Amino acid sequence: MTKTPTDEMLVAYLDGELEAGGRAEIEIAITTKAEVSARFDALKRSSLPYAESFAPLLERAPQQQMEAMLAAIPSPQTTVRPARSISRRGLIVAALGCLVAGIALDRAFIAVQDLASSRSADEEADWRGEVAEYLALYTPETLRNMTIEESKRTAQLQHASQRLGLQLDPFAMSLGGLEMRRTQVLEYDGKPLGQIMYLDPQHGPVALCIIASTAGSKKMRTEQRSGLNLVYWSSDTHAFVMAARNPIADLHARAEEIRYELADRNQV
Amino acid sequence: MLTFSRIYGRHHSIGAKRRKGSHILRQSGEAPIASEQDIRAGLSQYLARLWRYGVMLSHHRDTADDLVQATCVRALERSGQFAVGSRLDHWLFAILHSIWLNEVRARRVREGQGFVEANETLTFDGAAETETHILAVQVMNHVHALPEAQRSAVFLCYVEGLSYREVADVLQIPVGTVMSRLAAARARIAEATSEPNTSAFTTRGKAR
Repeated sequence: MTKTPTDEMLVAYLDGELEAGGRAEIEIAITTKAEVSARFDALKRSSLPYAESFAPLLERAPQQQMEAMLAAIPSPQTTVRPARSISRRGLIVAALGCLVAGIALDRAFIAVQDLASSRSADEEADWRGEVAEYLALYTPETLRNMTIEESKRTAQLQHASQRLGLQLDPFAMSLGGLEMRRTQVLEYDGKPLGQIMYLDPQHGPVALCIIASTAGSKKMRTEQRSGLNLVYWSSDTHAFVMAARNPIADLHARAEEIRYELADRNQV
Repeated sequence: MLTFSRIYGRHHSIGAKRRKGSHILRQSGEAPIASEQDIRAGLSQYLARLWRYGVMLSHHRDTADDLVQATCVRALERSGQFAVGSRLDHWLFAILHSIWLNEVRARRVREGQGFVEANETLTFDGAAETETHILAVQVMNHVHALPEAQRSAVFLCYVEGLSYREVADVLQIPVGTVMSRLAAARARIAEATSEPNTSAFTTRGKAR
């Protein structure tokens, strides 16, 4: 044979994917052509212990939590409503309701996190756009079934306060009559990101996102993105964004309330 | 992990009953599967491998959590579509990959967010910096540095031990494309690898 084997053929040979005839051709080419032999040796350097290297990652998988997650997925065939006690105590229904939103929110939080490091106005506008885009995926169903005991929600707030280094408890439990539904602290690369969710019966979810930021204090501004109204500001220590479908004036008033409470309780 | 309390909610005891039949799956990856109950049992067996694939694709543990959950939901919804006698793990990989491609990655790309480095995502907290560990991280970094299309082919073929045909089925691409992705990936890794002596290792994940 006279054809010089391609990288594809050489790699397929290395991977044992060639039939006997193909293998023989490659072997002849390697032994008779110096450039093929050199290329083969070069490609062979990529034969690394892939499976062994990735094996420890399996042990890092959150096995127990995933099993619990799987157990919590109701059977799609039997659309029986979960027992009351379960739905009260868990976030299961909501978790299913906001599956995609949950993923999306992760992205949103990455975006929020970027706030901490971003300096230019353009960049900040970018991340707010991203936040809005993903918060827009939140639906009232995401939160509707989420009736967590008050003690749990208090504990969530306390935890968030601690992680964010910001006094949130207990005033953030309600926002101008809207009851807090859930507070979460997510972590990205070790950095805490807080999200407090409220549900407005008329307008749907209201989100307050908080992250530590030393970019400096900025006054409150409003804008519209992805069909959501946004109010954003920052203190010397944290950056905030509120997003909801509430009218901008309403949202602004709520943001003012929160900012006042935060400033009042977090005096340096 | 905090993400779980967020996404998955609390434990409850539905799990006790669902393991019926899972022993069948444990015996062989190719056991016939018909019911949602069996898919459920099989899923519990493959969670860690799905999660690892999710980490591979997304470079984020939290995203991997979400991908596994979404995969579980979708697999249970579509349990009737699973071809009896085929590989459940491969079917699940295909579902996870499609969710990543169509529902998650698109957003990320639009955001223009950078991926975190492999060693940030994957290093073993508190683990001794053994030679094996260092090598493992190097190998993972080589794979993580690849473009996504090559990365998933390399992972499925060399870590999970799938054949070219099987990789093509999971990724829904022609075998020729699998070949060119692997060749491009290997050329790239070969270039990045300065130590030729590492080639003594077995590349394939499993004996086939």
